[in-house]
Parts: sequence; structure tokens; C-alpha cells
Amino acid sequence: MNEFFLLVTACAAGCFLGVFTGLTPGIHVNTLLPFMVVLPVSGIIGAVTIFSLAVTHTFVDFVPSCIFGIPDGDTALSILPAHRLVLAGRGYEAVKLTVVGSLGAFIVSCILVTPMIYLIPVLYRISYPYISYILLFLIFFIVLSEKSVKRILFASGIFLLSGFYGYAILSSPLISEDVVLFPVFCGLFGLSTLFVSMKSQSKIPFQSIDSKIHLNPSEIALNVVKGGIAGILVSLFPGIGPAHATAVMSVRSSPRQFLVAVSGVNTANAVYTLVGVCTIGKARSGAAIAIETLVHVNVKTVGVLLSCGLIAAGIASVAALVLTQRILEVLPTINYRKLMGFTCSVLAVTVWITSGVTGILIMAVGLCIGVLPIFLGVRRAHCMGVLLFPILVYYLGLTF
Amino acid sequence: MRDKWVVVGAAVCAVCGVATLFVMAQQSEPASCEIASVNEPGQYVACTGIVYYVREKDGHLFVKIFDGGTIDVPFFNFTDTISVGDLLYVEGITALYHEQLEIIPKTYTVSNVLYGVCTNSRFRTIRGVFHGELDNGIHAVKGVADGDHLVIEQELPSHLFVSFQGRISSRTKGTPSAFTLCGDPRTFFSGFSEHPIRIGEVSGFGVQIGEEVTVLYYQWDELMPEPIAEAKERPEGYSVKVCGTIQSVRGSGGHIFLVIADSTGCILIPVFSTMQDELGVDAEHFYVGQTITVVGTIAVYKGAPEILPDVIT
Repeated sequence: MNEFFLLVTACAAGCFLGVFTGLTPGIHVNTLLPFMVVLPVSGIIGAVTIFSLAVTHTFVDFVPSCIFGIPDGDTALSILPAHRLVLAGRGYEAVKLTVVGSLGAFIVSCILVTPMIYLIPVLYRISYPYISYILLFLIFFIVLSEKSVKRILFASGIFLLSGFYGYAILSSPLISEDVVLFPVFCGLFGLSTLFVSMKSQSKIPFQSIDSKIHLNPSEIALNVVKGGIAGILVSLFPGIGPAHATAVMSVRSSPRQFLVAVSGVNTANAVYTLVGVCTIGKARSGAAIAIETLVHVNVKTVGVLLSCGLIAAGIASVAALVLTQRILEVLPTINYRKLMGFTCSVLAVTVWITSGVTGILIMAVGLCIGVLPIFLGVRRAHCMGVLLFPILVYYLGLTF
Repeated sequence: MRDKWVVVGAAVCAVCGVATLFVMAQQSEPASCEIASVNEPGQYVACTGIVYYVREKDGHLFVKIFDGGTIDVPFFNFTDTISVGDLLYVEGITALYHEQLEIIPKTYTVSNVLYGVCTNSRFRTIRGVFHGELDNGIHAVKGVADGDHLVIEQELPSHLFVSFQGRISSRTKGTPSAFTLCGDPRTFFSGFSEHPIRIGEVSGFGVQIGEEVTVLYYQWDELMPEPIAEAKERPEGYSVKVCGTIQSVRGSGGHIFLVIADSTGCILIPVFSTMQDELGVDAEHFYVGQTITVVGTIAVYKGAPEILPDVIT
């Protein structure tokens, strides 16, 4: 009974911290982990706190992304579709779609855990030697899915430009690797969205806080499963993150379908990095590494963590929706351009604090690249070349 | 039309920006520092250290270097060669992996180092003896050998090394190249050799990390035979070499118990069944009156000293 109380308390603490990391721009789960180590928690209690934190983060980090256009590595591509919904007065629906996607993917992941414990080692062994070909396939798939030759050319150009941009930053010591993605995504996806919408919009429409979702149940279920399975694949392949899977999933999806799937990828990935530690001994996230140092991750541990994760998912869903309601209630009373200007300032100041003048330069270059797909009428997923290209270069053993 | 100019302007700025970032990345210089001062991830650093540990797995090479402090350097998909004792210069970005800081190498240089002891300008190393302008004592130098003459390019500071001297008392189980010295709590790893160093007198030097010393240079001498009476006075764990005549041979449960004697006294040599294969002996190998030499370690059983044999000839 005492241990149950401790686990629930740890879970609640993780949720609280997850809401904090999810809502605060520039703060990731990994940012808090060094502080977690010095806290007087250990073993399964510490692991539950960290896992609940990671799960909650994947629910709540869509709130600032959807409403204010503040990106992080996992949510960057969701900004434009979510922002479209915000400008159509459907901001609450946008966040709700991500909550449904995350919660659904978490449940799907829990159901699939047992078969995946046996399947993941086999899939990993088979696929590991072909990572570079899988990446190449993903890249061609994303670029060639554009509808005309002209757009394919634009997409190729944007992919290569983003790729060289990513390679220049990620393969060099210009900025600490802990914070390097923040200015990159702020520029590519955050500021570019805000910049373009500020150009065309002067007022935020009334935000309807109703429970209606304009997707039928079969579409929701399909995209939840899509996100869940993509999350599993992400946890399998080294070098392929949620952002890459998101880029692939943005092909032929409506904004609403995309929001459900993309949120599912992040949550399923949080679950399956844990399963990955248990089955193939590979920790592919900061949270998984921290959990691995605290407890021996076996099937029983995974069971305990997933049970607590379910509680965290429930709390995080409610927290994300309640917070969104509160924010959206006051949003229409604010001058849109001033709000967007303020958001841009917050992003710029945060980038400056975390990565200095170099970070500002990186963000500015990212902004220039990020506006191109919007004006050229191609998907922004091509900007994910920023991550795909350097990893492909690494796996092909190339250097520039 | 306005949008067209926005696209052109953005594209030009993006290309120029990416080019600028490339140039900045190329021109950034690492901070040369001692390993002990590397204390956080994300630093661009240049460190030089002696390689004291190398492990190869799945095409990746995991190296640890030492310059007074230690740090890990992982080389992914590595095809080059790095050995224990090499001097590794590495430039890269620090990262945290499993709570351990490591340098992810961007560029690196590996140099061979000669470790040895110099006496009267004769520098004795594991790779041979060279003439070199060195003081008497231990040295670790980078240099070019011209015949038996060594042109010294750089000498590593001697404070990095710890000397040792003593009698090998035992080999550490599971690590054939590791040994301990009588009365010395440290474990010594013979970094140059996969082969075990047999019981004998040993001296040399290496780098010490915690209670473990990676041996970079050693000299080994065979033990001199001593009278059985003197051997019996040695402390437990001390290695000895005695020569005597077999007084009795007794077998029990597959074990062989020999009593050997010389003019000063006698001592029991238990040859346990688990050791017989390693020693290359069996019960029929021994007979009363046979003269044998035993190298082994003093042990005490029920108050009486005995020698646990390592070599019987």
C-alpha cells in the first residue's frame, strides 16, 4: 500500500514536471533529467517519475506549438496545420486532436507491447544493416509525393538547402548539441509560420471551445494506429526520430488527420524507447537512458512503468485540454499581431539565452528556408532535410 | 509579384546564411585543454592522452585516454588501428552517455610512443634498445628510430606514470594479462600483451586509474630458487621457487599431494585435480626420489605452510 502511494505520488510529480516542460519554450524532458538525478529518488520511484514526465510532455508540448507556433523537435511540423485551425477559430479542436492522437497511440502501444517485445529484436536485427537505404527511401518518398514536376524540383531544392543547413550546424561545434535543435526549429517552423500569418492576419477569430472533432471515428482510429506504428518504427531505427516519421506521415494527410498521427508518433515513441531498452538494450532517448541508470529494465519494470504511464496519460490529457481552454478564452481579446510579435520576441530571447548570437544567426537562416515552402506551395516536411540529410551522410560515410 | 521577391530574397538569404554557417563551422577552433577540465557536454575541445583501454564491438572502437584525468572516445564504424600505449590527439564535441562524458571525435591523430628505462643513454624498450639523449630513469617518448638511434620529437611528462616493482603473486581470473604483486592491492594489466606474465620478479611503469595500473613497460626476471626452510618463512601469498626431492606421493579424490625436501627442510605441494591439466601433470608423473623444481605461491593450511604450484618442472 505504501509502495502504491509512492508510485502514484511519483507519477503525479512526473505529470507536474511534464506540464512544465511541455508548456515552457526551449525546455525539453532532457533539460530536467540532470536535476532529477540529484533528487533523493531512486529505483522504480525515480523511473516512474521520469517516464510520467516523458509521457506528459508528449501531450502538453503541442499546446504552445498549436496555439502560439512555438516548436520543438517533436512538434515542429504540426505548427502549420494547427495554426490554420487556430486562425479558423478551431484552436481547441487542434489541441484536442493531438490529445486524442497521443492518448489513442498510448493505448495502442500498450496493447502491442507484448508482441513487440518479441518482434522488436527480430526487426532490429533485420533492418539495422539497411538503415541508409531506408533513409534514402523515406527521402525519395517525401520529395516525389509532390504533385507536379515543378513542385518536385522546388521540394528537392528545399530539401537540399535544409540538408546542407542541418549538416553545417549538426556536424560542427557551433552550438551545444543539447540546444542546437531549438533555434533550428524556431527558424524553420516557428518564426516562418508566425511571420507569414502576421502578414495576412490581423485578428484572432473567436475560438470555439466545443467538443466536436471534424473527423469521423474511422479516420481517427486509422491515424491513431498510423501514429502508434510509426512510433514503434522510430524506436527501432537508430538515427530516425519522431520528426522523420512525421515528415513521411505528412504525405497525403489532411491537417486534422496529420495532427492525430503526429501526436501519436511522439507518445508511442516514448513507450517503445522503453521497450527498446528492455529488448535490444538500446536507449534512444534521454529519458530511457535515465531510467536505465535507475532500474534494471525488464518485462516487469515495463509493466509497472506503463501502468503509471496510463495514469500520467489520463492526467496529461485533462491538463492539456484545461490549459488550452484557459488560454483560448483570453486569446481573442489579444491583438493578434502584438501576440505574434510577442511570441517571436520570446523565441528570439530564448534562443539568444540558450545559444547566443550564433543561435540567432541559425534561427534567421532557418526562417529564410522555412518561408520558402509556404510561398512555393510545397509541403514543409521537405525542411526535415535538416535532420534526414546529416544522418544519411553519416550512414553513407560521406564528408564535405 | 511581391511574394516572388520574398521567395527570391529568402532563397538568397538562406543560401548565403548556409554558406556563412559552413565557413563559421570550418573556422571554429577547439579549446585545447586537460581532460580534467572537460566537465560538461557540448564543449568543442581538443585533448591529448595516452590510450589505456581499447574495446572493439560491431565495427565501433571504444577508447579511453589518460592525461592525469580520463575520458572515453568512441569511434563509430572505425577501420583504423589504435592500441594501448598510443598517444591520441582528439578534437571533438563532448557528450554525455550513461552519465559519462565522452568526446565524439571530429578529427584525431594517433602517435606511437616508446616506453622504457634509460641507463647511460641506452633506452631499453619493449621494441628494442635505442641510443637516445635521455636522463637515467623512466621515459615515454615520441620519436623516429634511425637504426638503433632514436631521434626524440616529444617526451611525455613523467608524473603521468607510476613505477612498480615486486614479485608477481597471482594472475587475476578471467583476465590473462592481469596480475597482482605480493602485498600490493592494485591490479596490473599488461596492455601490450595478451599473454600472461608468469610468476617472477617484475618491474616497470604504467598509468594508474583507481586501483588498476595499465602496464606500459615491464622487465620480468625468473625467480631464483631458495631453500625450503626460507620459503616456509615467507608470508601467505608470496611467490617462491624451490627445488627438492620427492619424499612421498599420495593421491586422494583425484588430487595429488607431494612432500618435497632439501637439506633445510620439507614442504607439502598439493596438486589439485582442477590444476593438473594446466600444469601438465598427473599421478603417474611423480615418484619418490624424483627431483623437481616448483614455482608457486605460499599458502597456509591448518597452520602448516604449503606451496600452491604454478609451474612444476
